[in-house]
Amino acid sequence: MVEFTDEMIEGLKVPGKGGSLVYLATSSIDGKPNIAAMRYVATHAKDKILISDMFLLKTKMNIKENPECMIVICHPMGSGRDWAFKGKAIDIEYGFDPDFDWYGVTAKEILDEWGDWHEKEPPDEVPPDVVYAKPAQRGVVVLHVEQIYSIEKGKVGEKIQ
Amino acid sequence: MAVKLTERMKAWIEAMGCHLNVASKNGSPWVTVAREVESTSDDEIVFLLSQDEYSVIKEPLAENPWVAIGPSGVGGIRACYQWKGKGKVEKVGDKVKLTVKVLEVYCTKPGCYAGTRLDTMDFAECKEWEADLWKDMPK
Repeated sequence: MVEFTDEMIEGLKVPGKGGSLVYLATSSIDGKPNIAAMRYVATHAKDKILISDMFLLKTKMNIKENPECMIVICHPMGSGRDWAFKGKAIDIEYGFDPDFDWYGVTAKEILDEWGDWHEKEPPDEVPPDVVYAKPAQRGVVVLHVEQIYSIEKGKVGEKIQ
Repeated sequence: MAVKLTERMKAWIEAMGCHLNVASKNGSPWVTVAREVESTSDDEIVFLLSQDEYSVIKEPLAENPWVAIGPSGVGGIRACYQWKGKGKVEKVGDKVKLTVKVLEVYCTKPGCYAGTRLDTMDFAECKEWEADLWKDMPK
């Protein structure tokens, strides 16, 4: 069973709060991969990573047909945050039953805290030529992490947990 | 329509290296970091992987050639692209050369352009569209 370290909890925050930009990697059920950078990231409990469902397209479709996902640190590289997290994800959208349970967390507790992420953690640090014009959150992706491996130079693939 | 990478795309790939996502035939994703880019051409990216970088993707890539590619480091912020293609590997000394023939190019800028296919645009139109958004090159 995975348990995030304090460093991981610090690293898996929005960049504006000292966290990281991450890649969310998914695949269609027949093996066509997708990789997209995500700014809105947080941890929940000791083994869940949250990503805002904002402008997700292929990622969203892939998760709906195949929950196998990875979240990997993209930036900063080589800063000791050399982690790749693998597990199963769901996109908890606004219409979910509040009691819906995903590996021990409910839709209500996720959406109550993270359902308006733009307001909670506005993208002040994002360059003006990259930031969106208007937020459009539709839910929160919750990754239940089952294993963690390294992407550190010379140690890529080594199991951390 | 033939895929053609822009000079800005090539510059970011070569400067930053890339995160590569491959998947098993039944859709289990595996991500590695490709720190060394040997070359980029209009429709091909060649990575030189160390043994540890290759170890993560070796098995899935053997059964499924699709590779999804995003720029590493600050490229993940500044270079809002995703490239998808099919890869083949060959051993070169103690490294593994991964050659990806790029078949699809996407914009990943948050907002209305997220998910837009760039390779289906006319190339001149694509370059013009890109230049309207960004003029920076990696340092």
